Amino acid sequence: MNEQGYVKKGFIDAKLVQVILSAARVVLGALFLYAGAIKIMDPAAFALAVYNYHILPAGLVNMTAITLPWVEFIAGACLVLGLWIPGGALIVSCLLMVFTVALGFNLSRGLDIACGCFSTSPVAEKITWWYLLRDSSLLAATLLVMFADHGRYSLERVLRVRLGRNP
Amino acid sequence: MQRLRRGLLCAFVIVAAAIVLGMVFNLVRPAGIPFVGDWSPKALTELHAGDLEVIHLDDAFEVFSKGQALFIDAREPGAYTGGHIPNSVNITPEQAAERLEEVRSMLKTGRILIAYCYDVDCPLSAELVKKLRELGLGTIKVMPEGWMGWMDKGYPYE
Repeated sequence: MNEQGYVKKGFIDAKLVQVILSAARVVLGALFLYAGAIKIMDPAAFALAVYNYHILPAGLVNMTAITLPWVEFIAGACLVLGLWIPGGALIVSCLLMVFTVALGFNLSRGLDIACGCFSTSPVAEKITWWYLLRDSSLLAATLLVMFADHGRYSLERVLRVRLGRNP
Repeated sequence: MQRLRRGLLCAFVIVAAAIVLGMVFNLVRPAGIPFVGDWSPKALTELHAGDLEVIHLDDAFEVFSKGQALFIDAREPGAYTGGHIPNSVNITPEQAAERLEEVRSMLKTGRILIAYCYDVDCPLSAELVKKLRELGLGTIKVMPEGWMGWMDKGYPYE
């Protein structure tokens, strides 16, 4: 094990486990890369979405809409490429926690249902609970990546080998 | 632990880079938005209703009192059933096309048609009126204060 803690012995270091973790990392990264990109493309629409959550003070809505998609985008890129994996995974897990809490909070206070602004049909409601489940599953996967993906299949490792450092 | 500490440091750098990039990109791009947005009722009304004809709460009530108003409730049926402006008809934006004739006959009564939904944050009434306009019906007003505004004033409901 080197000072980065990237090479360890045991079950987690088994090749198959590392391949699965890397695949999960790339999928998670791609999701956030995509989520960030579509929000970057239409900042006004995303600002309205943030406003509609009624969680942030109105003065902070636009700043959030301007910066949050870039956090998602860069963290997603880190995970896809395998650069700064712990950092990218930490950000993605924090974001997922915030999203899950915001979603759950608005579900519990019945904002959607009272407002009717985002469809209150039974089908849509199911989808909303499904979103909560989905976010929690993604969070679990991200935490696994954060603690157990040793970056064996990452750009960072490739660079280390190229630079002649201890992989 | 070491991994977490390293993660924290990288995360901090990524967030800082994202904030700087986001702000710079927002400044230079044509579709950039103000750093502090205007989310006042007036701005929200403009955002949702755009160039549609708007009638505010008190004016709408005056027309209603003279018996010259017909209201369209654009909220979901569940919200409508829970309480609505007297004699209003429930038409959601999705139903615009299928209930076109109904709206047309309402217009023929010569009364003023006013669409409303939940409150000033709610885009449904503006969406409905925009759809109806695309289908050829052009003289329906939007009351941005909506059901909440109506209730806050203590106006009659059923």
